[in-house]
Parts: sequence; structure tokens; C-alpha cells
Amino acid sequence: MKFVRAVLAPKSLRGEFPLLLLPFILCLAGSAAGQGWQHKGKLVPEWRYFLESGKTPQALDHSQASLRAEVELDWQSENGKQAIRFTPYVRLDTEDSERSHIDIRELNVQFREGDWQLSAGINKLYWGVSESRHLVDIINQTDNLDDIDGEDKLGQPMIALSFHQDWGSLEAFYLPVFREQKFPGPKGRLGPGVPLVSKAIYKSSSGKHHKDIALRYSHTLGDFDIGAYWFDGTDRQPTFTPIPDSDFWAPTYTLIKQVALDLQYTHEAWLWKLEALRREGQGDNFYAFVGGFEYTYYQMGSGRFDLGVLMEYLYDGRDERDSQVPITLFQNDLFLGLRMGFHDTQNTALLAGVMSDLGGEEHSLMLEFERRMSPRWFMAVEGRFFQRSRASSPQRVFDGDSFLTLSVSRYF
Amino acid sequence: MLNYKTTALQKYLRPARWAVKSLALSSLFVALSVQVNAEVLSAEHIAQRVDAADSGWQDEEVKARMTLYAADGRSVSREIRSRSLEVSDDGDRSLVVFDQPLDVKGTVFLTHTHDVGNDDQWLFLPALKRTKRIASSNRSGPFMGSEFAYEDISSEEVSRYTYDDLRSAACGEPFAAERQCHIYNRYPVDKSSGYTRQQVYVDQEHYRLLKVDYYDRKNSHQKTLTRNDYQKFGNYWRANQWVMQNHLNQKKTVVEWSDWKFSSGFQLRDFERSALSRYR
Repeated sequence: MKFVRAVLAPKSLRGEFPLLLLPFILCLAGSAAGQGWQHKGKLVPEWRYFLESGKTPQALDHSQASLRAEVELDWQSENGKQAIRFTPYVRLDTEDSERSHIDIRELNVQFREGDWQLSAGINKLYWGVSESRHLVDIINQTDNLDDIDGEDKLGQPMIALSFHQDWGSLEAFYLPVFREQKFPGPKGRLGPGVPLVSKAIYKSSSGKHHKDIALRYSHTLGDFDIGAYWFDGTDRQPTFTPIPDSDFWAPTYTLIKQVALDLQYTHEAWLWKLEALRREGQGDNFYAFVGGFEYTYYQMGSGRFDLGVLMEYLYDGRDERDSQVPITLFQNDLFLGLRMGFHDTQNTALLAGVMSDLGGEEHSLMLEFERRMSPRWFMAVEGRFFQRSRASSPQRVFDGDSFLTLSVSRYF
Repeated sequence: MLNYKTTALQKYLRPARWAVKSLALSSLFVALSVQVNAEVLSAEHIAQRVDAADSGWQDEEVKARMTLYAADGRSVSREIRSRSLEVSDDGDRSLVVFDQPLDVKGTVFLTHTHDVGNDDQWLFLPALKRTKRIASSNRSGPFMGSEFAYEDISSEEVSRYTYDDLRSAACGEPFAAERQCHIYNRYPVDKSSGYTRQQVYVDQEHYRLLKVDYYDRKNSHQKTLTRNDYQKFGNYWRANQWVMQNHLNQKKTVVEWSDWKFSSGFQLRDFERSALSRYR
């Protein structure tokens, strides 16, 4: 029953209903326009199980089911110089109405002429090379409601201009509107650990309309792939400010200036990776980096699978005691991982990793398993297990929230 | 995410680099063949003529449907599109986009081959919009779970083998009884190859590769590749069907090529890392 209610009238979707119709309108427009349109989509029932019951009386006990859907509509002109993409996204959750949400991941137009490319609209892009933490990736806000691995992103409105030459690519980004993080409701799990008000505080006087800017250079030189950027704008990760005379806290967004580097050296079966940044605007200036490698043993088990070994060291120099600084779990940590990719027709893959805090000796474990079941069905199991941590540890927010997620994707 | 090793069907499409450079030489071979009897030519000469017969196409686009048959006859299929560019002063470049199965739809592979050393390869993962540089040193692994190894679909480059044992005989099954072939052995130079030896069948009329018998590291006759249904597009012959039969596990992979397009005017910049995210 809950599920039916969530499907029919999810709280967070009220007032945005016309948006849900947009994909269908575009589909119609697309088929009317005839050739050049492509689409792909998926519908994903998902079930999440928490090993322990919730920390607060309102929090859900163990089980949470969701249905999410994403459609991507693409158009490209005959000569490939103009393109349109529209990607609406929706999640409906049985337990946590705040987790039910819609988003436009992409709605943009692209123009290309010679070495220049211009895109305008809502877009998604990714910067970085490391596996254990996505440190330098900054343009898109993380969609925490979907997962806590930092790989699900909200669409970001932008104008992007790129220029490609033999000496590399230069890209300029103008980001006129900031996207706030979304948080689970009182029933939800994996939240920030304090009750929140929905209205955020901004350190910028222009609030969410601060004009964020980024400039990026990237290039490939033989075995090296290099990227570097300068970012001036609103940090994607909030701090939390207590509201006087209440039990509530407000997400608070600060302005930062950041330079960052991502580098990969690829040689035979070795991938050497480094992400690093220097940030100002949140207390003392600080540095952070992730560095390590992935080495692959090919054709193991009589040629049945490849085995990758990953190791990454994570450092973050931010001052945790300063309330102006968003928390991080990765001040002095080591990640060790194994990746198995099977050579079967189902593309079976397994990834397991341990993150160890070298200072506090806390560990967390992650497991991912995925397998194609048929040309249209795909399954994935993901588990995150957090060891109970000492009182002062930032990982304490996830205490008792170890979980397993099973998802089955139907592609169309 | 996706298994990294989904690479390299594209490599087939890159023209033999040697051949590009030896375009001028190819006319010499033609002249030679008029005066010199086939028995005097070496196996390597034949390999060079096969290469020379397939160069100068500038750029090429093609669709492929790959069907993987298990020993009990059950099958699954994959669909890809490939686009490649001849590069005169270095190895060629290619982009492959996956259409089927749907869970990897939109995944794009970019390969820059080089005259010397390993290729450069990037993988674009559409769900994360992430472009990953990947290792290209695994030549003997299977492509998308098929009976083709990466090295089987790489370009037929002369310099990647040593040769011997050229003879002339009927091409044999499944070709017409009267068709005559140059038959020779080639031995992979690369230590990471999964083969000790390959026996190659080339038709004497058009210098097209018709059949290859693959002998694995234990020198067992592991697989046979047959290229069927050759069709001429301008100056270039293309086989519309490739069949790879594995004799050890009885599995089979069939590739149907279609919608060939040549000389569309692609540029180097269409095959850069930065082009990956916009390739549809």
C-alpha cells in the first residue's frame, strides 16, 4: 500500500507533475521529427536492506524498496555538428518520501564547429581518475539520495565552451545556478545525523545564484593523461549550522577557490593514478590527494577471468575542528581492492574493497557484484559495511547503517 | 562497471600501417608478379600483397552484429558500430560504440594505434560520463565473451609475424573446389600472443584473406576463422561474414558486417579523447 501511495503521490513530486509529462511530449516531438532521434532507458526496482535497525524512533527499521527510471533521448544532426539530449530521472521510495525525487540529469544543446564546441543547458560531466574517492570531481552536485558512493549526480545548469588543439583541450564553464544537496527524511537512513531544515544558508550574498566558474585544461602525452582546473564558486558539500532555539540544523554552503590536478600513467598492465587539490575559503588553506595504482593479472583461472589489484592512499589536510569546513572520512586512509572481470557472456564482475583509517583504525568494507541476466535484464548487488567507530570519528555518522542493495535493471 | 576488455573489434578496421607506407611498393609487386612465378615469392611477399590490396580507404564506418553460439547451439548477440581513420605518419585511430546488449549501450572505445609500442585506449562509460584510459596489453583475452581474441580482430599487420612454408593449393572447404589459395604459416612476434602458429589461406585472384587456422600455446588446433561473402566497395573487398569456430570447446562466433561507408571526410580531431563523450 505504501508503495502504491508513493507511486501515486510522492510528496516531493507534488507541483512538479507537468515535468513528468515532458519526456512523453519530447518522445512525440521526436518521432514527429523523424530520423536522428535515439533513445535508451531503464526501469530499476531496487531493494535495500540495513543490517541493524535505525538509530532514531522514526527511522525505518531494515528494509526499503525503490523504483527508479531514467530515459535518455538523443538527437544529432546529419553532419554531427548539432545535438540535443534530454535525460529525465525519477525515483519513488516506499519508506522515505524525501528519497522519492525527480531530476533532469541532462537537457542540453550542443554546437560544434571545427575545434570549438559550445553546450548550453543542464549537463553532467566527470573529472578524475581514482577509484576509492572522487576527490576532484566538482561540477555536478552528488545525488546522496541514490547512493553514498558519490557516483550519482544531479544535473547542473551550465554554459560550456571548449577549444581543442594539438597541445590539449581548454574548457570554460559558467554555472549560473547552484544545486543543493538533497537529504533523506526522518524515516530515511544514511543521512547527515542531525535533523535538517530545508532552507539552506549561503555564505555568498547572492545565495544559490552565485556565478560559479571553472576553467580546465586536459591533454594526453604518450602514456600520461593530464587534467588541471581552477574553480571559483560554491563548494558542493555543505557544513551544518545549528539554528538558535531549535533542534534543527541548516545546510550551509561556503565559497571556495580550488586548483586541482588529475594524472594517470598507463603502462602495460599498470595504471598509476593521482588526484590532488588545494582549496581556499574554508578556514586555513589545505591540500588533499588520492594516489595509487591498479594492476591487472590477465587470463587467470585458465582464462576465465582477469584479476585487478587496487591500492590507493588518501590524504586530506582540512581542519576538522573548524565548523566552517565540511567533514571528510578520508584524512589519512588506505584503500585496498580486488576487481574480478569474468570472460563470460554475462559480463560478470566483482569488486571488493577495504578502506582503513590509518589514524583511527576504523574500517569499512565495500562489495559490488554485477551480472547480465539477458539482453534486457541486468542485476547488481552492492554492500557497504561500516565498523563501529570512536566518538570523534567522522565515520560515526554511518554507525549501524551497514546495508546491502539489490537492483534489477530492465533496459528498453 | 563493464568489463574492461570489451575492446578492439575496431582494430580490424585500421588499415595495415605497413601497407600505407608501401603503397608505392605495391605497384612494384604487381610488376614482379607478372614476371615471377608464384612459387618464387615468399610467404611474407604474399602477406605484403594482402596488405597493399587494402589501403587508401581514408576512413570507414561499419555496423557489426556478433552472434555467440554455445556448444549446445544457444546464442546471444551483440551489436556495435565502428568508425576508423587511416593515419599516414602513425598508427590508425578508431572509435567503437556499443548498441547491444542494452546495459552497455552508449559505451565508446577509442584506440590510437602506434607504429611502435602498445596502443593507447580509452573507454567512455555513459552512466558516469567518465572517460577512462585503459591498459591495452592484453592481446589474448576474449572480445565481449566471444571466440575472437583481441589479436584476432586487430589489423593484419605484416610486421607482427614471421613467415614460412608457402605453398599453393585448393582453398578447401567451404570454398569452391576450383578456387586456388596461397597457404602459409605465420608466427606471432609478440610474446603475449595466445598462439604459436597460424595457417593462413589467401585467394590467388584478389589477395583476400579467406581462412586462418589458429594453433594455441600447446600447439593444438584451437580455432578456425572463415571470411565469407566478399563484396567489393570501390577498390576494397570486404567480407560480410566472419565465422570463428572453436574446435576445443565447440563454441562459435559469427560476425555479420553491414552498412559500409568509406571516405566520409573524418578528421584526426574526431578521434581524440575529447570526442568520446559526444559520440552517439
